[in-house]
Amino acid sequence: MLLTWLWLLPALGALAAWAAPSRAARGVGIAWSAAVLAYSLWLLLPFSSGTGPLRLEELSGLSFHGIRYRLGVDGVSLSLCWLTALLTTLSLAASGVREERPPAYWAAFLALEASLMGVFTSQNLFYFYVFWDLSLIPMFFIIGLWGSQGRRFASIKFLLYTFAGSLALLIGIVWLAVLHESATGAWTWDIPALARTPVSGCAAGWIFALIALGFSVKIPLWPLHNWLPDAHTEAPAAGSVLLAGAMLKMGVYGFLKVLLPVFPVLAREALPWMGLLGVVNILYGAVCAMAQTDLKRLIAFTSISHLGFCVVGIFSGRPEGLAGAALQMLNHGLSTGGLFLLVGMLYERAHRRDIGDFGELARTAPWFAFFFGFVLLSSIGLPGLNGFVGELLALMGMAKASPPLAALGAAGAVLAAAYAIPTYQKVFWAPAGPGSVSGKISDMDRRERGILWVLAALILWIGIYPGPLLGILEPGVSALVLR
Amino acid sequence: MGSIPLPIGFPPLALSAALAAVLLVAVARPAPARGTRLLAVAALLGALAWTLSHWGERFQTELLRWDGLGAAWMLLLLLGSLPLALLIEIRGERPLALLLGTVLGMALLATANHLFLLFLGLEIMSLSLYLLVALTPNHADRGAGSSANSGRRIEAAIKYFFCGAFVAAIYLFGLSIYYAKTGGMAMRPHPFESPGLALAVTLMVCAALFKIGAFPMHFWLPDVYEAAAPELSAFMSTTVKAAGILLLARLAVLLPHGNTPGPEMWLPWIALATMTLGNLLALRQTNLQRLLAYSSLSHVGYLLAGVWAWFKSAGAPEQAASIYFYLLTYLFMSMGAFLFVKAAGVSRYDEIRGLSRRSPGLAAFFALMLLSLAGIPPTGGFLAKFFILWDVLRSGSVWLAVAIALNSLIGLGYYFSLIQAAVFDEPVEPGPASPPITLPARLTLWACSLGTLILGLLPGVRTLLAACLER
Repeated sequence: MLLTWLWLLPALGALAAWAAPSRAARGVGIAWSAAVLAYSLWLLLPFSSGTGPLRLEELSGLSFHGIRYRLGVDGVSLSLCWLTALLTTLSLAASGVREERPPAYWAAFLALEASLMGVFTSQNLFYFYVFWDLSLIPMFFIIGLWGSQGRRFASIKFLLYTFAGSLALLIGIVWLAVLHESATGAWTWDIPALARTPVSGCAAGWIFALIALGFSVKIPLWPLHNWLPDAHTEAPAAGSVLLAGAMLKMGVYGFLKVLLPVFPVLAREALPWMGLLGVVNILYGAVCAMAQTDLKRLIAFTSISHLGFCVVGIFSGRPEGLAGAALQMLNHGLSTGGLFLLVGMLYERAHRRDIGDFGELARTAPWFAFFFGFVLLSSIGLPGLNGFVGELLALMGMAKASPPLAALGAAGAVLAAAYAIPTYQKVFWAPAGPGSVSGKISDMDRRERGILWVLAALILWIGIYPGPLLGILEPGVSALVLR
Repeated sequence: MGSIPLPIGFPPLALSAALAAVLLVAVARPAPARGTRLLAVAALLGALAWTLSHWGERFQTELLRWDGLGAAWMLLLLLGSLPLALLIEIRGERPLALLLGTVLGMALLATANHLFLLFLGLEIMSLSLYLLVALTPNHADRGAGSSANSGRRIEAAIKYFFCGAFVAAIYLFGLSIYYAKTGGMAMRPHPFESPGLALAVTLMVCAALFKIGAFPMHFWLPDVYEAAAPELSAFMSTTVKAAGILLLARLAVLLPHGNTPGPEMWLPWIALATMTLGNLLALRQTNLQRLLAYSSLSHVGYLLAGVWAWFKSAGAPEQAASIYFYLLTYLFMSMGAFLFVKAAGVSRYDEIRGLSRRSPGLAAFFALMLLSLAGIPPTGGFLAKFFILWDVLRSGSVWLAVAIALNSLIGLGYYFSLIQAAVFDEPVEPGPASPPITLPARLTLWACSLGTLILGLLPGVRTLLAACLER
């Protein structure tokens, strides 16, 4: 039951928050998410004394044509569970009292957390897909009920676009099971079992493509990224944090823990193409970010760019690259999550998101300037902060597999500076224009600073001393090295 | 085939007796409405109890039979008829007598072992239904324009009747060819192949396809579902459809397996056309019952894909269980969606805007039904569609699986637009007043939501069903 509680706890929390009276719902939501965070961290304890790699598993004996309940975590999955729990807690703590349908708000976030935990722990593809699909529904309501003006359109666009990806994934998964049954005579949906007996042939190529398509929509990989900017722009701040910080990781996690183990040979063959797509993501996201005037949209595009590094790392197939990708998932969650939190706090005060509406903000709100600068630097990969470690490892892996692609990817890091620094300058230092709202903005209060200090501490810790974390992640990816 | 004396309580017998009793009670003036309803419900419950107590038994005579498939479907048909018996508006005894007539027809379909008896069941069911459609008032009829609306209902019933008569002719035509070729009307597989026999079976299969509204014989369906009372549309879209699928399953036994091209050649195309047409037309509807009617068409398409996989597997119980599971889930979710229309007292899309502010409970219920219809886990609708997709891929048709997936995506468009209207939008001023919900209606709505949720949590249930359906 250790692992079942990871998703059951937030699911029960969602029911509790839903049933709670409007006034108490916020307290229930925050306290419950904090309890989930504590529980997920506590799961590390049984292993701190042991010497073997982190590995937990539980399964039920009942199997219906291979469909059975099977959960398992290693370092990579568990670290994503930590990230999900942390971001849920922080973004709920950052959300003020809701006037619009208060209990449902907290319930939706806990439901989202539950489904994400399910995705990151399922070892049976049937349950993996169930949780995967389930995560869309809370996010649909979060965007549609508590978003900004364009929320009605953005919610349905998000739903249809990502559901299309899910359907490709579904067909791929079912087809895979059918093909596997006709090859071996036994039904199985377990990822480890499917990895032991890889299928091959023309059909396997199509299945690989379908599953990859499903994951690519989620990351999102160019040219399937179109849903992301709208969803991010219209979602409430906490929704954007979880969407970027945790939900997009589902796609990367799928590449890493489903596609790579099940199709090692095809993944090797797909290297040039997927590597190229990853590099295109890095460059395209960065170039688009330069052209944005809306802060949330800008961060959405940087998010596309940063996840390109994960794809590059994964499809390099080298140990460094894989570890880098696993680490970069966490880094991206921390820094992009932090940026969305900050923009959300600004928006709550100013009800504006346009870069041109600010200016000289550092004078009136120095804490904003400090944290925004700090998190932005981590996001563009300044040495000494977390982003640098992940991007460097991912590019090192790719440099071994394909030096030209690695060189192109490195160019993305330069572009990152080109969009981040001018934006920062315009918002915080440049003289304010006539329509500026900077003068009316109060600085961050104690609660908000506390939330950001947590993120900043983690960013600094991973940047300076990534050793322990990499030690947890590496056993999870070492089996995936492509030869 | 000896002459086994039929057991007392055999559903067709019990239902005939109840029908006679209802008509006799009606001699008393004024007819005791509550008493007749009680009688009808008791008859249905009695037949249900008999079905459950004889679960797993097998016997057959020349005309009748009782087997796994028949028993399972009997359970489904009786379960689907109960809400209608509880909820239908009665003015006089006629609706209940007609309802019992419909169920009697269905019971004959489930137990017939003879092609002419099958026809008899089909006709008893259909004739009662035409009259029910014409006689049962729709909740939207009240107020202005009531005579125009009842005119629409009668028009729909006549349309239904004419199409049905045409189909009965097709069935009989097929049956006469069958008789000429085999010299009998017993339902059993025939060892020889002949184009004439294939034609005969194909004609009878076409009649079954009409009953479930498959393309290109779908055009009566939206009109009928829109004009009829919602509880009746709920009954037709779930239970009558299940009876139609049962008819297909019974006729499948006769399919000559061999080189003669049978329905498995063209059934995927019918499935594709039906689901695509239903989904595309549902996108543009503003009347809720009509929208649900087109959505029901799309589900017929998915079901037919499952039926095709079942044909391809030569009647394997696994595939039959998938179809049964789909029908069972659909019974809960479509019944729930139609009954919601009545419970909330709405009929147009605009009227459900802001529903979650007026009555949050009903809005949550409607959203659950729509999630299930759209096939989102962890509802039964997801699992049902998942099993169909699985079977289709097992039968080796990737394109049909892709078609189902794309159609689900289109379906998502209108199901979620309904959710958006009910949950996200502001109420229209002034919103229609929701009528008070009676206790039987409340119970039915609870049964629908619980059934939808519980079925979604049991991925193993198909394996159990397959064991029951093993012939």
